Amino acid sequence: MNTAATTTTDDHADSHDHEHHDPRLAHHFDSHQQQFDTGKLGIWLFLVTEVLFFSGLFGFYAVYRSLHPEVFLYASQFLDTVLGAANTVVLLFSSLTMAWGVRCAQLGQTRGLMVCLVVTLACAAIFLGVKSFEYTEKAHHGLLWAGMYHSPEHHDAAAADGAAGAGDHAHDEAAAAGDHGDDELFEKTKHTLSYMTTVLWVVIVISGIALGLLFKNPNKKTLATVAGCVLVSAAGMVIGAYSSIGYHHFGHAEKPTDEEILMAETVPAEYAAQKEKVPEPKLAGTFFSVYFCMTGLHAIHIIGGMIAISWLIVRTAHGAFTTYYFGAVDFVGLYWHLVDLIWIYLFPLLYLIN
Amino acid sequence: MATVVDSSNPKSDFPIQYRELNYLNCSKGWKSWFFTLDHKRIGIMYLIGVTCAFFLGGLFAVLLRTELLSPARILLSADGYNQMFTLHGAIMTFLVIIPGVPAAIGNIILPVMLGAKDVAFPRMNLGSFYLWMFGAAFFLAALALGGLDTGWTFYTPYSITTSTAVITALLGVFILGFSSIFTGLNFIVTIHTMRPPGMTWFKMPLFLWALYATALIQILATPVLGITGLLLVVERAFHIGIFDPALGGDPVLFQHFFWFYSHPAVYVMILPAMGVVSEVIAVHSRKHIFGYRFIAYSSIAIAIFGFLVWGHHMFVSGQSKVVAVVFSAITFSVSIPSAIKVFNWLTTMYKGSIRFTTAMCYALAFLFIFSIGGLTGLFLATLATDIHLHDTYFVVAHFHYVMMGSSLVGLFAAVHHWWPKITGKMFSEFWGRIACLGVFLGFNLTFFPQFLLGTRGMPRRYYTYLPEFQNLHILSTCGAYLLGLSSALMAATLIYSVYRGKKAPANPWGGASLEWQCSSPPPANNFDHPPLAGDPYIMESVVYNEEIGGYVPVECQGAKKGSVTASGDKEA
Amino acid sequence: MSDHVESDAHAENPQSCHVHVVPVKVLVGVFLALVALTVVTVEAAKFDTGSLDVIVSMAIATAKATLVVFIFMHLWYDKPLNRLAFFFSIVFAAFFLCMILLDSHAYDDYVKGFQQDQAAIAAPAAAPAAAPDATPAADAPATDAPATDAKAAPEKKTEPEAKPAEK
Ligand code: HEM
Ligand SMILES: [Cu+2]
Repeated sequence: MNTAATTTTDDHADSHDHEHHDPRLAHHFDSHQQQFDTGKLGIWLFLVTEVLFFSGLFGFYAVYRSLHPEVFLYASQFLDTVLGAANTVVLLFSSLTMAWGVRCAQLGQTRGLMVCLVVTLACAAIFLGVKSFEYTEKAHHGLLWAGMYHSPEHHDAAAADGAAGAGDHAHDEAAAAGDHGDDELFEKTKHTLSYMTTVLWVVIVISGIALGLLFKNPNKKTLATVAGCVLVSAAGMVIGAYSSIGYHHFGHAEKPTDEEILMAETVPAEYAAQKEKVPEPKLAGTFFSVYFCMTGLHAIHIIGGMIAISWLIVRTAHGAFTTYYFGAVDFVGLYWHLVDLIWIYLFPLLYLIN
Repeated sequence: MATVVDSSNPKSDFPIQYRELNYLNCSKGWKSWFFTLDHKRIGIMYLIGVTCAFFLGGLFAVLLRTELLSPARILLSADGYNQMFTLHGAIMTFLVIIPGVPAAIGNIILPVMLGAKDVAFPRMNLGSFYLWMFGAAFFLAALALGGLDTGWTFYTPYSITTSTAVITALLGVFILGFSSIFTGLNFIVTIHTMRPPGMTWFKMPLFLWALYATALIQILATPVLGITGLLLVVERAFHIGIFDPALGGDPVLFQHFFWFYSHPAVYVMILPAMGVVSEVIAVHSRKHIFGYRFIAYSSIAIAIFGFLVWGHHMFVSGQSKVVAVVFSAITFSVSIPSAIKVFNWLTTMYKGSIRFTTAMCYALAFLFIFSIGGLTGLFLATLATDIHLHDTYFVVAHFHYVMMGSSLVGLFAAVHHWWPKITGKMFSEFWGRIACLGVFLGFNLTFFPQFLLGTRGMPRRYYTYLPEFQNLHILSTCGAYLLGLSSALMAATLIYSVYRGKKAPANPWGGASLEWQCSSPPPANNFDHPPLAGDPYIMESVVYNEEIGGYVPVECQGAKKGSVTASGDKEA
Repeated sequence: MSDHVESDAHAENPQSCHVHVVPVKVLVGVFLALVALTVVTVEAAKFDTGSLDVIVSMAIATAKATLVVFIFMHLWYDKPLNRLAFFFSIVFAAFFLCMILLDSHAYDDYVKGFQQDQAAIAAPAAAPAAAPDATPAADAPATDAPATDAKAAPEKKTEPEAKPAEK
């Protein structure tokens, strides 16, 4: 665990009062308990910094929501509650498997730990898949942050400059155009996504082949596990993306019911039906600034978590964890739960504004 | 040669002070430095980095002052001047003062003082240093990419519209923030979990209390700076309309975000320096520190109160009146713990046997300068007065008295106090004291006139001025030259000592805290046995030994040299 | 080697690490409760409860967060120090949010006034002085005008700033 520099120093220091040559115990600790407690305090303090880091964004949210509530009311109807809720459940499930994995690690059940970690990784990937569908769709509707925001009132002329001018469209006209334009946009969304999924498929095939080739080779354990992690992540994202496309299709197949309208589907046709109730306020783009900043930073944390989990999987494959050395699993787990925790707040704050 | 082999054998009963192996020579080659996990080596690398940044920032300062010799143009254009003061400020705060005492000196001294083998997370410690380098590289890149002219405060909306390299600089700040967070996190965890038996909270030297309080601030405030910088980057790159009034954003919100970090950050700068002064004054007055608990608690109080006052930077920014009054009141109260410390230091010196060593001279300079700096802060905290003084040279003088005159002088004191421990060499006291005198005089000559300028209405951040201000500006510039020369002299004295200095004894000043009980420089592992911690301020526990040229524990005085051992063996 | 101050005396066997292990039943139970709460919060959002809306959804989110923090993150069984650290951070973030909320409401009218000024007079002269502190007293009437629709009574602008603003 030490680099060359400290190993030399250890040579003459450890020999007489530290009988242990336990590679799992760093040189400056006396016992595994101390090492674990130290790491635990460290990770909690790290989580403290994460909370404060996000507090800036929550401040952004709170200030603008309390100053311009109408913006949030108006714009959040473009977010798809069902997708959001599904993603919430996926993340919650990944939290469960992570906690379960920690339990397995504590009890020394390496196999169980492996399964739990892989499932967690897959769930994280599914979450990202769904998110990328949502992002792509928003982008095609021109529902972007303030500087790039295109008012949906002229979304069929999305190419035009979207500085929220007072649109004098006749309402029914807009509704008709909306219905038509929506299908087109959905096709576009699917198109962009299909590029992404093509890339992912390539990744899946390559990492699958790599995994197959390396699986039997005991010297290439690390590489094989990394390939496996990549495979799981890419597959998870594809599943996430396709199931949200499928869901969206399904939502279009039948006539939208009133309930769906209430649930504020991402369909400008329905929005057109609602428009009389909630006129588009100024600064509507601010909501999407908040939305992209918060979910974007959260997604970056998810990606970070996926890397950390992959690292755990590799170490598990090497049998690094034992009943007295499982700190890393616990700490990554805590981080992962925090990411989940933030989503628990983001979901109602962004998707469920009524 | 034989002794070297012998002494490296831990089984030998050769006293630890006489072992030839220490952290500096225990391994060789650039790799042993760049990949080291030894907190002392990381601290040294920090110290070198901070020194380079200090002289770069200092060079900018000298250029700025030279430009101000006359209202007409001398060296710099108006734009050039703006860029110069921005980079001077940014480098000095983010690269020098914030990492100065905690990351450089604290890294070297904290584990030794605590009696631990290392900090809790050595790898993270190294990572923090590399982040620092990385952040510094971003600053240099900003310099190369067309400079930066927003002031170190990056106020919106100007920072959104200017064409200079704001994004690069902000990324630098973001990275440096994480470097600082890692250091702070490491220190808190180390102090909580790595204390050897017997080292209770109230046996910790006050420097450790100060570092602990500092680390609290670093952990709680710096993430907010990180997200602020990130949001401003995103605002500039994508126009998200959070701070940009053109998109309905609120520029004052930026000031809230910024000062929520940056006011506590001034305590990140001053608290460690206060900790240093507590050590230096006690040791060089050869007296137990007065009011130990008060000093310890006041550090924590400052850390907590420091978070409640950020609005005093925004009295004229359109902040609401209620909030302004609240912030003004809390600002007054935050000066109480600072004053507590000053009184305790004075009382510690009372009837002590003061030796005017270089470190002590710097500590005395600190006392004088910090008192002025802190008291002028009270003027600024007064709402009505601040309307007149805000954004004038008075503010410039105030924060230089506390940042340069106190934090940096505290760093100088720390460097001189622990130099024998860090390098194992004694520097020339004579030249050290001359440099100290120069720094003190130069500093006051530079910044005292600025108080006068400020009260007469000279605004800050201008490259020209009305002719009636010229005399004071010239005085100030002369002071800056003296200051620059003296700091160069200080550096020269110290560097010379590394090559030609006398070998330092384990305890040259007679300190009673643990770092003086291991050899100078300490062995790579600090302590073979966890040392036994006693009261760190009982100066009578050590006495001067002619033979060694330094202090030894009382028990060992008169006994043969062999019994002078590391603290772990002291009682044996 | 004697045992360590804060690691509670397991020095007899350095190869041990005592922690609390959460039973599987509890884990699954917590997960089910979390899913149930998610459903509840989605359903609750369908009813128009006016301003209670935020409170309800935040209460449910906090209930979920509590479950995650205490059970999944073991905080219930953890050392008091870790608990303290985490809760301190939340209190702290809350304090920060409250202060900026309080203040940004107080000067919101100025911001609105600024926007209207910009819209009305296309004169860019006021543009660099976006911070309300720098808008001189001259445009005070314009600042007050839009406040009619605002809920908060506008504060009179009392600080005619003579100094050049922060650049
Ligand atoms: C002892 C109590 C202190 C009080 C009451 C105090 C008060 C103030 C006030 C009210 C201001 C705002 C002035 C204005 O912009 O109009 C100010 C500015 C400043 N203070 Fe202090 N201060 C104190 C200590 C310190 C310390 C210890 C430091 C740093 C080590 C510090 C660094 C600064 C800086 C950097 C600024 C100006 C920032 C800028 O606008 O660029 N202050 N202080
Ligand atoms: Cu301040």
